[in-house]
Amino acid sequence: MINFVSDIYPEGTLYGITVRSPISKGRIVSIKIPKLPKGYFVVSADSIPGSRTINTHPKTCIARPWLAEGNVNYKGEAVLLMAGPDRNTLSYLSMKVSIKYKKEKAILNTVNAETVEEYLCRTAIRRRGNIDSAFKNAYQIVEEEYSTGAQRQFHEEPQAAVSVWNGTRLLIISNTQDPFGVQLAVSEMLRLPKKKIRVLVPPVERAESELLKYAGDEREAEVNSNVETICFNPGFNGRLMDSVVVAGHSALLSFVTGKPVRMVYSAEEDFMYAAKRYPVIARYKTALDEGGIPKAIKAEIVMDAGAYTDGAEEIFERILTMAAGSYGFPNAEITGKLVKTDRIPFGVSVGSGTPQAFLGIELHSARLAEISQLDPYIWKKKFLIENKGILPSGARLPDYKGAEFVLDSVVEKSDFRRKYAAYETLKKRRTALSDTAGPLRGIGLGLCFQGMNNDKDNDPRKYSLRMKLARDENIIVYSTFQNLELMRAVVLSAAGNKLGLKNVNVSAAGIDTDTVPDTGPAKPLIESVLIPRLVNECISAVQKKRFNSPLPIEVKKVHRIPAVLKKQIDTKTATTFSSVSWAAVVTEVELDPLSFEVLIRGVWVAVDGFMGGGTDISAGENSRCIKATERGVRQDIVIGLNLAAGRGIKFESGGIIEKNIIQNRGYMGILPYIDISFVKNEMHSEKNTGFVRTGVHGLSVAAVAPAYVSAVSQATGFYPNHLPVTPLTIQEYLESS
Amino acid sequence: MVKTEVALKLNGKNIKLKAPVWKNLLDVLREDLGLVGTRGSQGAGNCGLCLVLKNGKTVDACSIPFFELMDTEIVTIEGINLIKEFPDRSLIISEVLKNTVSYRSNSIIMAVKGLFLEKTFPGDDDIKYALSGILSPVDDSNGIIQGVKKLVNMRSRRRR
Repeated sequence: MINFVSDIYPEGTLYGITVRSPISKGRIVSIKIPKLPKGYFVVSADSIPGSRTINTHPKTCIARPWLAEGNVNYKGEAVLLMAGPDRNTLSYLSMKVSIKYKKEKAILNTVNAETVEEYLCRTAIRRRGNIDSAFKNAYQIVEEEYSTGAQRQFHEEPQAAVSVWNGTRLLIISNTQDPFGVQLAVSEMLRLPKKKIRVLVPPVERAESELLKYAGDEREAEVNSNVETICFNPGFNGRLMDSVVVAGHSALLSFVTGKPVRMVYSAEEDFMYAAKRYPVIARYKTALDEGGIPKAIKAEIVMDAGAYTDGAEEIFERILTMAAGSYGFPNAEITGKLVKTDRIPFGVSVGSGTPQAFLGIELHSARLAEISQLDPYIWKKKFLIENKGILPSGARLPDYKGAEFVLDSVVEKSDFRRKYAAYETLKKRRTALSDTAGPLRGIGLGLCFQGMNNDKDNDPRKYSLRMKLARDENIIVYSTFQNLELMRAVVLSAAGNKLGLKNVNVSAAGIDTDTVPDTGPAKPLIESVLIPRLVNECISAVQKKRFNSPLPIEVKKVHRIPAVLKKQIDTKTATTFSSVSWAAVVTEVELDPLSFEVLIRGVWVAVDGFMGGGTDISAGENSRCIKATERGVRQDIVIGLNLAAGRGIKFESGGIIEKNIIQNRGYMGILPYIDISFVKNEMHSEKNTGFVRTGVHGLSVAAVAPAYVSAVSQATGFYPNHLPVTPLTIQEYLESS
Repeated sequence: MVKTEVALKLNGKNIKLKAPVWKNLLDVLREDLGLVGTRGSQGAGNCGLCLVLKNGKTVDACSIPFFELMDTEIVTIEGINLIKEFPDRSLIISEVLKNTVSYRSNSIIMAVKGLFLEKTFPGDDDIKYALSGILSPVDDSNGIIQGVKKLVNMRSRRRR
């Protein structure tokens, strides 16, 4: 019986808890532990037999320690671990632990960190054209600053892990996205060979039906067979670094105590200490000529990594690449600063940096369109990237024409141009907000792209996929992928196309490091590159063997970088994207002129990333794929709206305010009307995938937020430069002006 | 360790339970009785995951001290189909959850069941009130509310 990790209580299990630092920065002077009853344990960094830092990102600037020793660098940093059979006693004992600190001056916001050299982790600069001359000859210069705060990465089940050390082997049951990452990090921490560590990820999508035996329900079997699998927020749900930390802590406790240890964060602990979206400040300066045509742009990006930078470098690179948006500025200078602060380590979130990158440039472009007295749609079309898809940052986009397709589609469906003109006229006629009899109305347009990059190419780990064509001609896939809908569709299509097997039964083996190969962390951007490539290679290998070898046939393929991309990486000519998907979003809002409560009248989304399951699979399967993808896009829209208009994460003396959990969860109102369309991009290469399929997940988040803010801006005449935009911020601004 | 004993009716069965006084109903259900269908996060009424029916009304199991359970009737998700009133669990799964399950679905099922036990034909405000604090930012809240409204219509047709 397999279920959610937090539902697992092995016999004789101990509960594990974390003793955290109450200060943001300082030196640990002394630790006094009370006399513990029998069966209770305390573990400090000194109990770690191997590496004391988490080495999942070997080239990171500042690696995170498993447990603080000597210094603490953020409020809530783990200093000690405790384990015992009764949770209440444990929590009482943890309060009796006395740790004395010598406080040091902490830097708790991004702007302050910029000015201190030791807090500056990395800088970068990308240039194109002659920026100085363009600014010297400019008719007008437009300068703005935008910022996005931290955002909660919502996941239903808190971070959890159960570890069992039996003296020879360690079993870790974890809800991680990266089981092999957990295995690697724990093996280095405990100095154990990797083969002695087994990591299991329970298949949560079937958990409910497998777990519960409902009394008095005779139709249970029927109900269970009808329950669709749901890969909640497929794969990417904030379980990368945090899950490694929790799994490592429970493994360490189990290793030291010799008993099973269950470590489950409470909702509050998860809210306050699990990674949040990286806060970013984006400053733009654009030189316009007399006709309002942008001649040059200077963009300055400051990204806050929090106390440790593991994983931040990758997102920093992505944000820099996308900092000038989808527009072909002839001269550009993009500078970037990756800073640390003495706050919780921030982390990768849905969109992998895309929302932070596009918010600023999309709002800036809306402003430029207004200055040029052009409708934003016309402005965007006029200045869209050309020149073979080379971005101002130097990266090449393989499928750059997608922007036009999605823009045309969404503008037509939402009747954007007519509404924009009407609301603009109303805005110009109005002398004060109080003149308006009815609600204030506005409409906004956002455009973004998402590049599927090959960050695995520089990774020492080898990623591979194993596939078995069984005797009954069913296919079993062995991998760590969690986007089962995508994998199923790709396998069905490839099997139909190459093996002539129609409607074959495809199943995925459970995620277990003992039985599946390392296919990498389950990140949608990576999965959308690797799944089609590896599945097609495996199916081709099966095809070759099929009539020469008896069934079952088993094949394994390792991920190799395509020659073209390898050349680009080797010569460092550009950031490489193997494919790009585009999204355009229109949001229409209505504001109450007194309370400034915002009613979203509709959200229209066009994405070019997904066209269904292809022609080789049945209509039923095709519709299932589309439904699953629509569900993902819908979730992205909600996450985007939450980023734009949610309550946000508030910090107080370096820590997240606990009571904010109420505003950051739960019912956020009735969803608006949402229209989703999948648009065909003729530039998508079909040779690798067999059919059109690129990454969609996380894409729309980046365009929803700027579209919403532009709409509010048109309705009120207020130009917000910080997210989230709430009725209170609108009111404060209007009162101050 | 100070323990106390209470007698209660749990999922249709009369039982006696002994547990430390500081335990809450959620801990007892999950840790002592293995009824892990009631989810929780060790918080205090902050996550909306641990709904159970106490004397026919939905309550957060994490906010009920164990010693308050004397002579009460508790129904958890595991025993929900022992309550024969409309709607049954299968119907809620198909109409409200649209045949998908997640970590939070048991809580939604309990909220809907509790709503129909309390109100014969719940209105829009009743539905929103019953689901407030339970739906997560990534739930299809419209779809869920429409699903509950569909159940209301089904019940009214049956009555006719």
